[in-house]
Amino acid sequence: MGTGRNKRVHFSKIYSFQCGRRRYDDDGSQIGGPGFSRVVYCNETSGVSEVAAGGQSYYADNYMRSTKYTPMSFFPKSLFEQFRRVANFFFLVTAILSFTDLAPYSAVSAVLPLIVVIAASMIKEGIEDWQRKQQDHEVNNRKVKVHRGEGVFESRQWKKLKVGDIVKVEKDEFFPADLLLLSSSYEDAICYVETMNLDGETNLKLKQSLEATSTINNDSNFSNFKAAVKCEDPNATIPDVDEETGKVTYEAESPDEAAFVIAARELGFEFYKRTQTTVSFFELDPVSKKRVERTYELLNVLEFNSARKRMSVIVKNDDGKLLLLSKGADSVMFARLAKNGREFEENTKKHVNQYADAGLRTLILAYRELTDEEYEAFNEKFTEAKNSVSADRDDLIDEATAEIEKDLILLGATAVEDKLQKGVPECIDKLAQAGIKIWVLTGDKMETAINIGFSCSLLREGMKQITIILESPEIIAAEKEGDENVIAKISKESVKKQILAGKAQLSASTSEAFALIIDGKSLAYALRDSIKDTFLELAVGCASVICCRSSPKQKALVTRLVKEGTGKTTLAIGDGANDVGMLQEADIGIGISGVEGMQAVMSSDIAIAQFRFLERLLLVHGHWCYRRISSMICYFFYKNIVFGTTIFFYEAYASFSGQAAYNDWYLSLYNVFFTSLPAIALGVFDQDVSARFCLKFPLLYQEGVQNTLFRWRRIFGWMLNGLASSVIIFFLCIRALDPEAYNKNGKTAGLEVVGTTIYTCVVWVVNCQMALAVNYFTLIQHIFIWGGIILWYLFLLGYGAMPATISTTAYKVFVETLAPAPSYWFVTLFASIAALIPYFCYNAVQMRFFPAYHGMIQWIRHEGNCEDPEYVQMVRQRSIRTTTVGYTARSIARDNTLSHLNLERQPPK
Amino acid sequence: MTFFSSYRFLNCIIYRIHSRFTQQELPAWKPILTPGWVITSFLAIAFLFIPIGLVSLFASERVVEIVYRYDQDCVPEMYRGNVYVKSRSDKQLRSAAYESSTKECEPEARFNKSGDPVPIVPCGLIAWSLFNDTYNLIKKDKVLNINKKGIAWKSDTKVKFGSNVYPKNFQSNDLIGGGKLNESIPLSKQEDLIVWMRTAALPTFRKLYGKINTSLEAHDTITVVLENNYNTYSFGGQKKLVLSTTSWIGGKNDFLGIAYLTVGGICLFMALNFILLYVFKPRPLGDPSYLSWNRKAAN
Repeated sequence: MGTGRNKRVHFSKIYSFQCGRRRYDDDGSQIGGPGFSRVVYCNETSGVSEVAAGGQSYYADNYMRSTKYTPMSFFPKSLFEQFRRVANFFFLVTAILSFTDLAPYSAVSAVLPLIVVIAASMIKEGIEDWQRKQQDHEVNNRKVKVHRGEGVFESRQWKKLKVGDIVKVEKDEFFPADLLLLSSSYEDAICYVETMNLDGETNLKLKQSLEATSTINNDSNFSNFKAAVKCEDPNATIPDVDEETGKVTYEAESPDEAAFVIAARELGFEFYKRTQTTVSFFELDPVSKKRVERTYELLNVLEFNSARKRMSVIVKNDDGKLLLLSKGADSVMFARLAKNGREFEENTKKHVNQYADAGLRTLILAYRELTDEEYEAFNEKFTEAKNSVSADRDDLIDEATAEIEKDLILLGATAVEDKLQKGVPECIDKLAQAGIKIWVLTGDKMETAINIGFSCSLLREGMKQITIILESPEIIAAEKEGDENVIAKISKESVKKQILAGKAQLSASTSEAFALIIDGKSLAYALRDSIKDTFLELAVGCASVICCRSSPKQKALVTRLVKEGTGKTTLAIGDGANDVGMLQEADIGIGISGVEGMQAVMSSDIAIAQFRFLERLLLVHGHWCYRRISSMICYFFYKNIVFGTTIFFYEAYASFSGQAAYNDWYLSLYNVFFTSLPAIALGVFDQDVSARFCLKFPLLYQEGVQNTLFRWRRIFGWMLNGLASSVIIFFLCIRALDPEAYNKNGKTAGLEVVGTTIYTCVVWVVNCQMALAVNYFTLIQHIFIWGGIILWYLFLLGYGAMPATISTTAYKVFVETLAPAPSYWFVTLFASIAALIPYFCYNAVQMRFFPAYHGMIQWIRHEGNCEDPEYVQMVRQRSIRTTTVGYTARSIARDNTLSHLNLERQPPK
Repeated sequence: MTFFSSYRFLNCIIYRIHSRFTQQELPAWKPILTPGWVITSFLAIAFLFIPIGLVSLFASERVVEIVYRYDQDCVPEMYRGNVYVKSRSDKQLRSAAYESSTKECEPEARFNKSGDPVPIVPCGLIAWSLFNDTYNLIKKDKVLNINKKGIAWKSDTKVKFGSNVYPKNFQSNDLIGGGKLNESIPLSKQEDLIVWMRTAALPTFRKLYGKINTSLEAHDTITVVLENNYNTYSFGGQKKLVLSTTSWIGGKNDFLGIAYLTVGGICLFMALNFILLYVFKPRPLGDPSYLSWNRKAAN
């Protein structure tokens, strides 16, 4: 639990000067002034770099500590942590009381078990903290190249980095510190940073350094480099600056483009060089069958935007031929084809639909040749549009491009499979069948998010999409005006209107499945107090919800909204540092370990290696754990009620004199030895239904969601059962053994005989009850259940054999007084069977005539029907609803539509 | 070579067991309560319990018991409280060396012998309230021999009560609670005291007084001459004299036998009920539509 909730890990961000240029041009008069109290003097290799304004304070070092304790604080702090738990504190109080005359039991018997329990948990804490220390050690001692002076870079540990140091970060390195880009090995002093852990965006971000420093890209240049950086004071509006990390990596703008480059190479077109104006390929010449080098001059790039839904380039090949190459969404591309360019239209459309159905992301490719005149005319207009500074610049550009992107000749289509992890659609399908509502909170663009939604069947054709975005003309106009208040007001109104419209749609149709897609900008308004409840109502009514472009904070807020608004249990799963807030906000946070670093894992409750393991984690282990824990708690109630009530009854008979029915050590060892092991076996190993069936019948998970195994009825039932058992045991023992002689020698049963007999019966009954309650016996269960009983007899023998000073009333009680008396054995036999009969009857009726879902599956397994698809289908019939998501639901929805159509086509009889 | 291959074989087995353990795939027996199991269990219990019940009842029936209340007063009962039960010193009883460890015995710990508090042996309220009524049984003018040896447990006479511990200053205080002890006999031989010192479980209890080894016939008249020394009137207790034979099961106690017979009968009845239930009301096979959440959805 919360392995890293209070970690102080500083992850970092790379800063470039792009937007701060103006500020750095002034003369530095603000240094040390209000709002700029932090000043860093760079490259002070002599070690005076960290002097802040006024020269008093120093910056913290770069050492990272995530451990909870230090060697000094371990003992007091962990001890305090232990006694903060109510149970431990309670036992501490009883242990203290045992030293007084009030207690009917000895102090040792109360203190020793407490010490054992506390020591075990403290050792566990210690080991965990030691492991954290090892992890810290690894991160802190990672090396980085730091400028030592005289232009020499030496390798130094990250923890020894000081504010103001100049470091050299190489390709594919993580950097656990805030960095400011001075220069890079690229010509323009640019670098590409991946900020996946920062904002969840998978694309690379371009960072460019300040012109003044961009030329310093030789080690020796740094010998005389001096700079002062003033930093704005921490601003409450950007709380996530400190928890970010970056990564320098492979330079494709999106994974799609990388896929295209690779696919092209496979087809014989190998991209090998790119300059600012040219693109070079090795191509396989179809005539000569040789690899030839071709260079295309890149004349214009007509950028993609969400309104155009296409992108084009204009290139000139070696022969001087002008080509416009275009790719875009099918919805816009087919309309732009030339009459003679539609040769493959039908086939392509068919393919594209098939691809889309398979969850692939499709693009249509087309081209056209341009004449010089056409190009000149376009270029003039396009350049003019690009250079215009008026408010309608974008419109002008769109107009110019639309004119040239027409009369295209269709080349074909591409389909890219989203790089989803293996098994994601299957996993989502199963989770949906289990009745789990899935929300996607992503930093990706809306298009990407929708595509991913399709590929993992969260969205499907025929699902009504409710999209909430802020792109209406009046908002765009307001944005141009730049008045923030007006923008906020209009945006809020617009979001509210869209949400209400969505709700109206929702209530108009009950059978259809809806999907809600909202972007980060709109989400900011939807999460405002005044409309968030309406938003939640809408979202809950939709089968799937996708929030794209959402910031880490929004992810956390959405999670909180769901958690608090619906009162349901929320589970968040994510792999990046930008998911940390959400993981911590959710009831259960699951981190995926992998390429994105360890932040998500460290702040999660549970870490898994791949998304698809979530299926097994929830459906199998989630179900098992729910059953185990709820059964274990009920069982704990049961066994302590059996035990406690016998003591209480005895007290009632002894006029509440405080005389205990049992010997001190019987009292304190009951929960430690004789009855705890089976409960542990139940809590760790029990399986009502095997893993295979848990996955085959995902609806089983609903037992947990509906809380069928831990409702008050069941808890009271177990309590009642405990009461019944203890009544049977207690009254049987005192009536069968007292007051007449209990053995052949005419001896009467004293307190030690009656007490020990009652205790024996309790141990038997409680352990046999366990055997009756579980229906999963491995060797471990057998050892623990029967071992508990055997242990009791061994204890009686061993304890009774100790000197009378230690064993007191238990001295030789078994050997001398109990074992030779037949009545002792007959009472034990009777009690351990009779006390179980009420539960046995209940269970027999319930299992046969009113089985719960897991009970049905047990019958299916028992009767061997699991291989009968029809039967299994019948049991599962209700688990799949058309308004849910996943590919099973998708295929059902499609079948429904088809049969519907067929019915319509049939002529009336 | 053989060593390595067998080592690897062993390793392989350990690995497989380990992975089955961690993957929770250990071989398991998964019984469910099928009609067969239910009926068999009930019948088995019935066939086990009814004979045991009969045997126990028979044994108990053979026991002859005569109970006679002789104090003739009927006042609410009172139990010896916690203070009372704890008011004893096991150490002092065990060994003469611990004669003066009387801490737990208050208020009957010390006797003030001319200004000098000396320990009482055996100290404490339990010993102080020692039962001291005596019974003499006469059959046809002949006194029946009552054997008072062997009425205490061996662990008491051998271990818990020392053979070198002699009563001292017992019942010397002004307030006398019960019987006195012969100061020349060690505690380990004072079986009446030993029997009395074993704490009874319940407020109404019986203590073994002695054994009559003479056979008594039916219709024999026995005259009891008793000394009513022990004061139960102060706390309103009752006193009864019990004459009883024993069997292997102990005294005359029908409870266990009746309980066995009752439960055995119930199980037989349940077995028949379940047979009828299974025959006339077959289970509705795997229809999940009435599961709580489906019912909710259907409504």
